[in-house]
Amino acid sequence: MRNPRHCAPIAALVCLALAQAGCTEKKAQALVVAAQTFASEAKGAVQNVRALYLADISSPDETFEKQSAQVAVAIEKEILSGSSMNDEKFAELLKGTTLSNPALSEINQEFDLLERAYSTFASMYESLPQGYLFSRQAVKNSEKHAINLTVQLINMAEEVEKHPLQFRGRRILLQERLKDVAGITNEELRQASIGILSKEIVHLRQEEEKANQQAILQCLRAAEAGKRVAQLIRDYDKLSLEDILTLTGDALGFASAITDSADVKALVAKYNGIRETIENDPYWAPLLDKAITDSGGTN
Amino acid sequence: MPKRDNDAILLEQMGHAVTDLEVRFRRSTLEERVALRPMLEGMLADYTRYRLRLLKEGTITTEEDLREMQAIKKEIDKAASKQSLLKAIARTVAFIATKI
Repeated sequence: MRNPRHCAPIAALVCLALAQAGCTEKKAQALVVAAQTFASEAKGAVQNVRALYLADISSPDETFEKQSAQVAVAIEKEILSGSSMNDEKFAELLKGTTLSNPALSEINQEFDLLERAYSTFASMYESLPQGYLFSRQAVKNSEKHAINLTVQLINMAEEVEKHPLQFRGRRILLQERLKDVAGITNEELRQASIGILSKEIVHLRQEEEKANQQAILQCLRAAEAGKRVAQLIRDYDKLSLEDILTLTGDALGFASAITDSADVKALVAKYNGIRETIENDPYWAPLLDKAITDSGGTN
Repeated sequence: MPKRDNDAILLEQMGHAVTDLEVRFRRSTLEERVALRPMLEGMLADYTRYRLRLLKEGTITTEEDLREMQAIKKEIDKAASKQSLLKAIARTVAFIATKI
């Protein structure tokens, strides 16, 4: 039988540990929230960039009526040219003007991998509030991924900034209409059509610029959230709960400031500087997978 | 005006070529479309792969990284089970201590 005199100090220690644990549990919860915020911002960024890439390689998106009209024009041309229909031509008629792009699935695979990476990152910490006492090393091991995923977002922003993407389908339709305008003989009608087209061309330019800028800003918002998560992990043992909440709050405030910013070039330059700081930091550099960071290409 | 890199110049040239050919393709007869389609689809795929290569230069995450993150998640999940067991034991000890 246990000596009751031994049980009392054990009980006191247990109570003390549980009381301390209350504070650490909240710190763990703060890290979970920070990681989830990062993942959510990053997924938004990847979705924006994916949409841009798909728009850049897509053919015009056309209605059933427009497609039917195109088929009618093709049949008319066949009749006028006096050539006879065969199965090869009929197959072409069925395909319409839609193109198949074998590389489309490769682009989608790449973006799927990126989206999964950010979801998986956030999911790592789901049980942390319940398991923080034995997770110190696991959290430390996750730091490398926080840094890599952050730098990856800065790289993506830089790539969009250096090589902006276009709404190719809309460009094709406008070019077709420009050709049609040249054939209008009625001067009044021609001028009216040019007026309408001019506005649509300016709209296209503005919308392309806006879409590229939004994608860049979303990448940088997410990178900011990621940088804070990496900092939280790095200093997790040293930070108080208050410090952690302040850091997370600052990150959210800064992220919304990024959204309002118009100077995309300056922001990309700033984050390139942050990436360089990470690459040259004696603590963080060894954690960074260096495969890509020299964004050279064929320069 | 900032200096453009070679990738930007090449992408622009490829993009112009694909778009011009697609505009022509859409106005062609069926016979011409049959002849143009393989070339056009090939050019579009080349352009897409060029874009993809540049994107991948900035991508760090690999399938191996995903596996590593899943392993870390398992570790933390396991730690949560261990901790809940410990808490249960601690509560039991505390309860017993109050009864002695």
